[in-house]
Amino acid sequence: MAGVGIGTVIMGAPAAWLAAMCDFPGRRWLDWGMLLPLAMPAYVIAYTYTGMLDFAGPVQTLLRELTGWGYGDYWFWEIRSHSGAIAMLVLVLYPYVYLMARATFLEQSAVSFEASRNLGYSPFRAFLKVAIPMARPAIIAGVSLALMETLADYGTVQYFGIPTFSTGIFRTFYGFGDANGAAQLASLLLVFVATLIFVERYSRRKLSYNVRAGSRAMASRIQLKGGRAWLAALACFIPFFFGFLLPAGQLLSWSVFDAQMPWSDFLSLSWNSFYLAGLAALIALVLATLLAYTQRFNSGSLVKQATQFAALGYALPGTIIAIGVLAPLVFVDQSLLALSERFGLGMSGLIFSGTLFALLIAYTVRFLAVALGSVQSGLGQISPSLDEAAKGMGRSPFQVLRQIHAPLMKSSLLTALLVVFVDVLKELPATLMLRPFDFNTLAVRAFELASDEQLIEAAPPSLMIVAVGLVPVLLLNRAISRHKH
Amino acid sequence: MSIESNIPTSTHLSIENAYAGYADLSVVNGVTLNIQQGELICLLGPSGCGKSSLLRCIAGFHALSSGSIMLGTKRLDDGKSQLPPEQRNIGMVFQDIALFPHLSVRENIEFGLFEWSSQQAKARSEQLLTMIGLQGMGGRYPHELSGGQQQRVALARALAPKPDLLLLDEPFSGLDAALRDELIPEIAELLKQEQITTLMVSHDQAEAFAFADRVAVMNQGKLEQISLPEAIYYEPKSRFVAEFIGEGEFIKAEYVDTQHVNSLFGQSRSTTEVSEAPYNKELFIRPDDVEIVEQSEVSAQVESKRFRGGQSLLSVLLEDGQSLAVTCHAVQAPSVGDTVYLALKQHRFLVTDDLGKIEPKNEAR
Repeated sequence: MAGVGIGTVIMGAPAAWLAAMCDFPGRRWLDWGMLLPLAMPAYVIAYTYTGMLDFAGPVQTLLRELTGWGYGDYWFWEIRSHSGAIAMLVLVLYPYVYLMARATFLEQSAVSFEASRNLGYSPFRAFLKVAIPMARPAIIAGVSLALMETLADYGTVQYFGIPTFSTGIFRTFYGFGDANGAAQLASLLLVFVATLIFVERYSRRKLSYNVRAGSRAMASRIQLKGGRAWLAALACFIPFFFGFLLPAGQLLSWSVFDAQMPWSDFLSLSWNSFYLAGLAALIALVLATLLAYTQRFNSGSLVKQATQFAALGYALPGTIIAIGVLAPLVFVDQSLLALSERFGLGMSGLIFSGTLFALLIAYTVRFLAVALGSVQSGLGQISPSLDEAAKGMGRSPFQVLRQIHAPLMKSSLLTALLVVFVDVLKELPATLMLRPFDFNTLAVRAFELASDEQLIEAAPPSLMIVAVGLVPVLLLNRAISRHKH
Repeated sequence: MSIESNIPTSTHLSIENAYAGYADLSVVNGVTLNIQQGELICLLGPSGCGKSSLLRCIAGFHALSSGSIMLGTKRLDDGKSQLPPEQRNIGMVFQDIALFPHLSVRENIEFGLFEWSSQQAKARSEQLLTMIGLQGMGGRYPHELSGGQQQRVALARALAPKPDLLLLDEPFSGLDAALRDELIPEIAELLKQEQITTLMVSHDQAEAFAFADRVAVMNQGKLEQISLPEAIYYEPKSRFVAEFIGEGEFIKAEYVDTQHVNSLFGQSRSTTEVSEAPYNKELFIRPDDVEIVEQSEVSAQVESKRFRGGQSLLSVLLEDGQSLAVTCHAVQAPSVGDTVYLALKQHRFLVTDDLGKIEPKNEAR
């Protein structure tokens, strides 16, 4: 965890400063490209790199051919290790730090930077003493987000055989059939998550003091020339290349040239995934809209706290949610079965716990916050006086909703739908634990194939996940650049 | 006799024929400005006139394309090489205040004192906190202060390293009117006491008049006039200054000699040399230059009346169709439609060429 924290800062923060304050060749599209690794699930990047870097992979094969070495003659980095897992997680999680840091650098440093020059500080000293300390809350918030994702990660660490909380919970539950033990582990993990949530919220609060309204943008970016410019471009290109371009390219080449997955399998996997994700997204959207409106019309603190509580699910690792959903549902099932036996109703099997119902609950818990955030921000932009103006002109509340809110909210509702859809598509641990018997999704199948060392066969479903995952990243980028103007 | 007199003579900041711009847009076009030791000067002009760019050149955030800036004997910029901002020893208060949000008030004030011993720095920040009336608040953070307090801290931060020159970039524009009226004289007095040479940039004439010893009016990258505030108002030297500052109207006039023109009010003296160029002349008259009298040769009809507390501002239509603004005592103000007789209270006015009209015309303005 410490490794991931440090790694994301090293990869994210300087790149953010370069992208925000300097100008060098290719800055515009690197700025955009550095966000793309967000679309890459960690487990996908993990097995892609394994495929490239392990003993039989192209890199080592080439090395042996070039040098004539044989097995055991040389040392090569073992990717299936702690350091490998850290590297993989850093590659896909650094954009959190990058995004948060870049936003603060853009918003605040220009004037402060000049003020410190004016007070006798050289540019480098001003960067160290002012720009970095002022961005610290943003960097910490970014790292907390990255660490939450690290705690939640199951696919990478499982694949690399590294014992963590997620794999421990999973194994305790399935391997030893010990639901209580798994729940205990999950509770312990919750303590860590709670700490991170606290740190993240605290940093954000500090950040809101730091970012002052009305700050002027940097009058001119620092123009980098010659070797320095290329160095800066390289510093920004490396995360983009290793976090997205290289693994995505490898997946594409495996899918196109080598994979032999039958189309019918691929289509049925995609259908399962899309159907499930679409359903979950709709449920989350409806709930989020209800919550957002409840909050708008009731300003009581109870409603506010309840809404915030409902939004906490996003910080919870999928394994925890799976356990949390499973335990009560199993109890309900057993009670129902007992009842049915007594009254001779002929029910059998698992009614809730082994069905899509359980899965949908878990998704809703985990991803409601995403939908809620989008709906709330959309609703926040509709000033209450608009409602009053419409009502003043004789519209009923329902007409206000239909004629005023619906058109204004359309895009944020769509965003909410889309983001949940993609998140569900990528979700792995909860799906693995809760899915009905023999029900496969793209994520599950990709992970299973990779775990069976059929890396190439795992490429098409993975590529599908990445491709769909790009959509919200691009949307995000568009929202950010629109915000800038 | 001119209002201007008795200007001190030791030049402290000297800007010679300065040009500056961005890419292919020139925003400072040949400014020459000398500021004396201990003087408070306000650069006044509409937005986009180049005043902020000039300030940024002095601070060192922007380079001159030609010309020079000297501070005492120190050459800041000669159009080719620039002294970096951190070596100029110039204090600056920014438009958006720009206190460091992560530092306390005292840490903000001591920020520029990194070469001082910590004891000296502490003594200096205590002294400044007392001076700005925030004793005992050094441990607070910027977001815990009111707007006026933040502004004073920003001033203290700029003054802490004992700068050779203080620059103020629209420092009061973010404050509400009441606070501004309170803060401006207070800060001006403080700077006078400390004998700090100050250059402020503003687009607000009331602010400039309340603050500065001399006002420099800037337009399209050029200095139009540098004078005492009273002279800027009563003896504008150019059409732009006349129209930018206060209110007033132009009426038609005819060339008499290089000192005088004739208008329907009779002969008047000009503040500037009247050119012999074959244009129609115009005379600039402020509302308080005119008074309503019992009887005179100039009669006019009152078109509209606006009550301004104590005074009324009348818009009147002269017999030849020209209009004029006139102030009078609110209690004695005539009604709309009344005929009034007018006379001038003084006899020195700005005269300019009416560049738009070479041929005489009789239509109403």
